[in-house]
Amino acid sequence: MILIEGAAFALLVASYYYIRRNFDTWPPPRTLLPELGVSSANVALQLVSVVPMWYAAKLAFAHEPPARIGKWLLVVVACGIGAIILRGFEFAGLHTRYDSNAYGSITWMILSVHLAHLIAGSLETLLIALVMLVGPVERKHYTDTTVMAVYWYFVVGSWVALWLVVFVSVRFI
Amino acid sequence: MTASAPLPAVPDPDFRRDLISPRDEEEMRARLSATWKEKSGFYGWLTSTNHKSIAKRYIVTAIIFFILGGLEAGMMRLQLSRPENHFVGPDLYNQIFTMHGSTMMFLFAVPVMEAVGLYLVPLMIGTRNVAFPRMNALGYWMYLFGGVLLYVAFFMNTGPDAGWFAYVPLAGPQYSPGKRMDIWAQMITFTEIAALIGAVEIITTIFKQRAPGMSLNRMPLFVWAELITSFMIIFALPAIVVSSTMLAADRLVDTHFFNPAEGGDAILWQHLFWFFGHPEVYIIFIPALGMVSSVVEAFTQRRIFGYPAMILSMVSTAFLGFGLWVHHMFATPLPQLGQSFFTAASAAISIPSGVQIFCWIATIWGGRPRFSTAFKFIIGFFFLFIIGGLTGVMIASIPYDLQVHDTFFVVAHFHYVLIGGAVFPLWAGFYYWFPKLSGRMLSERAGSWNFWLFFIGMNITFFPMHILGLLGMPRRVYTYLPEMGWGGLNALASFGAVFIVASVCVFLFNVWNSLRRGVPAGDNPWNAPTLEWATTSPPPSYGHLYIPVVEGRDPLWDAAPGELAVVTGLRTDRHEGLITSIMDAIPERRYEFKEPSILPLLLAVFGGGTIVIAIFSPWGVTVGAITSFIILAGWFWPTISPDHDTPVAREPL
Repeated sequence: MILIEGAAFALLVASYYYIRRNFDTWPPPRTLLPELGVSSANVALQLVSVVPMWYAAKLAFAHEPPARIGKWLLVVVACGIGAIILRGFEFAGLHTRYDSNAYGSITWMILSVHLAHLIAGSLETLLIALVMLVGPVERKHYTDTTVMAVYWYFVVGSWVALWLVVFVSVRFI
Repeated sequence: MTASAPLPAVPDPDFRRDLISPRDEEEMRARLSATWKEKSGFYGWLTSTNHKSIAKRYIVTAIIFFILGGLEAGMMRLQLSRPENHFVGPDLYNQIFTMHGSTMMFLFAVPVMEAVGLYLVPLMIGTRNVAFPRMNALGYWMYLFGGVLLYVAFFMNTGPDAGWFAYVPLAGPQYSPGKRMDIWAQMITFTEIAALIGAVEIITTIFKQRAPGMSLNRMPLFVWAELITSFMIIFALPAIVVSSTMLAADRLVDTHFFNPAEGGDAILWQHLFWFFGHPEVYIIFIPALGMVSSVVEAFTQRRIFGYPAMILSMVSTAFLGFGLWVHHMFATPLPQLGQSFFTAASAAISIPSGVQIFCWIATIWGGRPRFSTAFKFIIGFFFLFIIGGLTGVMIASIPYDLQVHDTFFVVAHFHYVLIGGAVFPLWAGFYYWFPKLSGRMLSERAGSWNFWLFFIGMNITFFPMHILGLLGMPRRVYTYLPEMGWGGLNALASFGAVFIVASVCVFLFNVWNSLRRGVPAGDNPWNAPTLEWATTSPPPSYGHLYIPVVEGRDPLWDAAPGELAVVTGLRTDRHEGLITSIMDAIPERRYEFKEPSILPLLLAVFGGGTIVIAIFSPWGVTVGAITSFIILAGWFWPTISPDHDTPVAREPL
C-alpha cells in the first residue's frame, strides 16, 4: 500500500514541477502565496500525532492490555480529526480554486489525495481503537496496531514532503 | 488454548511422505476435503475465496474478452480490406480500435497473466491459498465489473473513441463531449484496482508462504517472473491512477491539468500515461517469459541453463522498462538530448531478452526436445518475438521513428512482440497446464492445427503492415484512397485474419471437446519438475495433501512425489497454512486463511456502483467513500471465535 501510494504521490509532485514550467511566475499572476501559518500548524499537529501512535505501537509490541492501547489510539484519531479540520483551512489558504488554472488543479489534487489518506488513516485507527476498547481482542490485533503505526508514519511523512513542495518550495521556485 | 500453539514439526529430511501410513493419509484427505470444501450452489460460487476457482474465472473471463477484442480486430480488418470501404463508418471505427486496444491491454493481457499466476503460484510454492483470499475475490469482481461497464457502453454506442491511450486534448472535455471518455477513465479505475490487488496477493504469498526449504534461489522461474511483474505493477499502475483521475477531473469538474490555456499540458498526459504504458507491456511480457521457462524445462527434460542469469535478465528488463517511456513521444517537441537517452535505453533492453533467448536455446540444445503443441508455441514465440524485437530496436532510433511513428509499421512491431512475446507463450502455457487445471489432456492434433493456423495467420496479417507503414499508411484511419496503393497489402492482411479466427475456433473446440472426453491426465503427464505437478489433476481445493519440503530447484526430479519430505502438524479443522521467512523459507508461524464471504462481492457492487456514479457526478466519490468504509468495517471486524487465536483480556487481570 505504502509503495503504491508513495508512487502516486511522487508522480503528483513530478506533475507539480512539470506544470510549474508552463508559467513565468509561480504562483501564477494574481495568486497569493499559500498560507504558511495554518499549513505549518497542520504539519506540527501531524508530527505530534506520531508520538501517541508510536507509544501505542510500543505497548502493542509488548502485548500490554488492550484498553491502554485503545486510549492512545483514540488520541491519534483526535489528532487526525484535527488535521482534517485544518486541511479545510489549508484549502482556503491556497488562495486559488481547483478550476482556476493548472496551479489550482494540481495543488488542490495534492491536498485532496492526502486528505483521503488522512480520513482513511484516521478511520482505520478508530476501528482498531474500538476493537481494542470493545473487544473481543485477539493476539493478532496487536499486529494490526503495529502495522497501522507504520502506515500512519507514512501518512504523516508523505505530508511533510508534500507540504514542503506545495507550501514551502513555492516560495523559492 | 492459551499457550502459543507449537509450530509444525520442523521438517526432518528423513520424514518422507511414503512413511505415512495409507490410513493416516486417507484420514488427512478426508479432513482436509471437509474443511476446504467449496460451498455449493450459486451463493457458494459468489462467495468463493479459493484461489483456483477465482483464477479460473479470471482466465475464462479474459479469454472471452480476448475473443471480443479479436472480433473488434476482425471488424477493423474487414473495413480496411478495401479502399473506401463502407462496412463501418468513422465514428464506429474509432470506437472499435479504442475498444480493441483497451480490451486487449486492460481486459485480457494483464488479467490473464496475473490469473495464471494466481492459480499456479500457490501450488508451485506449496501453500494452500493466496495471502488474502477475500481480497483476491474482490479483485476478480472489480475486473469483471470494469469490463462489463466498458462493453455496456460500447453496445449503447457510447464506447470510448479516443484510442486506448486517450491522448488529450482529443480525450478532454472540449473535443470529446459526452460520457465516452469518462467511461473509459472509470473502466481504468476498476481494472487498475484489480491489477494492484493481484500484485499485492502475489508478492505477499511468494514472500511469506513458500514451502520450507524453498529459499528464493530455489523458486521456479515462473514464480520469479510473477514476483517481478507484481513489483512492476505496484510502481507503474499509480501513473495511470493519477493520469486517469486527472482526466476525469478535467472532464467532470473543470480542472485544468491538460488545458494549455490555463497552464496545463497535453504532454503531461503523455508522460504520465506512458510512464504506466511502457512498463505495462513488460508486465504482460515478463510472466510469459516465466511460462516459456516452465515449458522448455518440461519438454527438454532439462534444467534451464543459467538460472541466475535468467532472473537477473528479468529483473533488468523490469528496471529498464521504467526508463523507456519517452520513446512513445519521440514525435513531440521534447528536447533531443533528453530523447536520445531513451533511444539508448530502448535499445539496451533488448540485451537481457537476448540473454534469456540464448539460455533457452542452450537448454534446448543440450536436452531432448519433444515437439508437443506447447513446445511448438514456444518455437513460434522465438521466431515472432525476435522479429518484433528487431523492429523494436529499429524504431528505438529517433530518426527512424520519426518516419514511421503513427504508421502501420508500429502496429506491426507491437503485434509481433505482443502476440509473439505474450500470446504464444500463453497458449503454450494453456496446452501445458490445461491437464493440471482440468484433469484432461488437450488434443495434440487439434493443437497442431491451432498452432499452425495461428502462426501462419499472424504472419500473413502483420508482416505486410511493416511494408504498409513504410509506404506511409497512417494508423487509426477508417479508410484510405485507392490511389495510395495500399489496397493489395491490406487485403492480404485481412485475409490472414481469417486464419487467426480459424485458429481460435480450433482452440475453443479443442478445449470444449477435451473437457468432455479428453484423455485423463494423471498427476504429472509431462514429467515436469515443479511442485504443481505433485498434486492431483485437477488439484483438490486444499492444493497439496501435505505441505512439501523442498531441497532443490526441481523438487520432482530430485524425488518422486511419494518420497518428498513433508510438513506435519498443521491443523486440518480450519483453513490453516504455514508462514515462512522471506529469504530461506524457514517456518515461522501458522496462518489462518479467510473462509468464503459475500463481502468481496458487496464491496465490488457498492464500490463499483459509486465508481459508475463518478462518471456522472463527483458526489460519487463521497458516497463511495462512506459505503466502502461501512463494508470494510464489516470485513475487518473481529469474528467472535474463542478458540481461533489467543484471546487477550481487555483490562489487566
